[in-house]
Amino acid sequence: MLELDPGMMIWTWITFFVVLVVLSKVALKPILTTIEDREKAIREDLEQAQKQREEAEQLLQKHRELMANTESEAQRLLKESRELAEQRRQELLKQAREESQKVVEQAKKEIEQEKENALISLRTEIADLAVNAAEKIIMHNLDEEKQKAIVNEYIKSLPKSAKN
Amino acid sequence: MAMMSSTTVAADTVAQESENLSAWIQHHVQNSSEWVLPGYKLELPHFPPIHLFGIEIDLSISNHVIMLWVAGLVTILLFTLAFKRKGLIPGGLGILIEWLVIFVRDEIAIANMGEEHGRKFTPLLVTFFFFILTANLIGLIPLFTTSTGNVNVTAGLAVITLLSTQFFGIKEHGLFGYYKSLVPHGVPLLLWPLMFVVEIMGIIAKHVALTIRLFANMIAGHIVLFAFLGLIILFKTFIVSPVSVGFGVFVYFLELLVALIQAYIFTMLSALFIGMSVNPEH
Repeated sequence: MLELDPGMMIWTWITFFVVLVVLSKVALKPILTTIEDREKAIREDLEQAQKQREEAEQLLQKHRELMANTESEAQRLLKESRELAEQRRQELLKQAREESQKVVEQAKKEIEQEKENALISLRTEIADLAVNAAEKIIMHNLDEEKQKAIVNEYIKSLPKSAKN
Repeated sequence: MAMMSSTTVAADTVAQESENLSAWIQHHVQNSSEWVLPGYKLELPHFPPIHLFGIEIDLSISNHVIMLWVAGLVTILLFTLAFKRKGLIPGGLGILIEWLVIFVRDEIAIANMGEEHGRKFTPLLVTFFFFILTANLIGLIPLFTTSTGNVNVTAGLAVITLLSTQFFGIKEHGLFGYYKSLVPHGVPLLLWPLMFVVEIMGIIAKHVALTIRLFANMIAGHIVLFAFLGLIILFKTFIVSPVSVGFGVFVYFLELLVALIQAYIFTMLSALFIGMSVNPEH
């Protein structure tokens, strides 16, 4: 069982080296290259994925900040515009009140004016009417004598100083 | 008296039978110059031995040589068939082969030799692994024999490891540097010659152990297997056959496991030895 057989040993070497050479050339080189290529591809893919993930996270962060900013901005704008509207409303209200006050005053003044005018014209009218009426009455009732009597009466009633 | 003589006769018969049996087992695990195929005994070519340096070299194509060739062919076919493809993703058998190649590369070569040397020695170690594994497994197929159960074959393989350790060690560190690195650091100068001899003996012992480990493991399973089956012949009864066949099947499965483990161990130790010679302890 343990006898040495150099021929067998030589055949082992020959067979082994033939297998080694053929395997290396035909199969192992392409296989190992393929495996290494694949490992490289996987590693690169992983690295790229990692990078893209980081980028995406950064983007998300930025987006979130932007959203928060926008929110506060919108809040601020809303508040501002609300204040502005309130202010404007107050102004308008005040203006309208003043306007109406002015209109009322104007109207009052006009009414007063009209009243005055009316009164004046009424007074003139009444005076004319009275004069006319008086004239008519006087024309009716007065003759020469009566007129003389009246004039005399009037002259008599004049103050003494006027006599001089 | 008659009874005693009949007992003696029976004992003699058993002794003779067992002798026959051991010869039968021997015959089965030994190299031969013929290949027994079903119904045909193939006589293999026999060449006259060559005498070189006083050594008789018999280069005739024996049974185990054929088995080695079959193992080599199967290994090559396995790889070429599994990798008839383009692209990065393997399929079917390719996955298994590729997994084993990656295993040998990462867990055996790179783990024992470091990144750079590991990648360089991967083809050698993968060839060791698959060649030994196929040779081991072929021995388990009926009609085929185990070439790795021949001490000359395992010695041949161990010599390849031995020469690789020496060759690549010298290539890496120079002739003087390499043999100097064999002796551990911190050894007094007076002990150097002794330590050097001890280390050389250690190297030889390691490789002899490598030879014997593979050879003994492969042959032992077959001997046990044949011994179990031989019990039927020895006892001349079929009553033992369930036991024999049962244990035989058990040993067969054990052998499958051993075939794999021994291929792994041989490759692992080769990687370790080569790794130790190319990167000696610092």
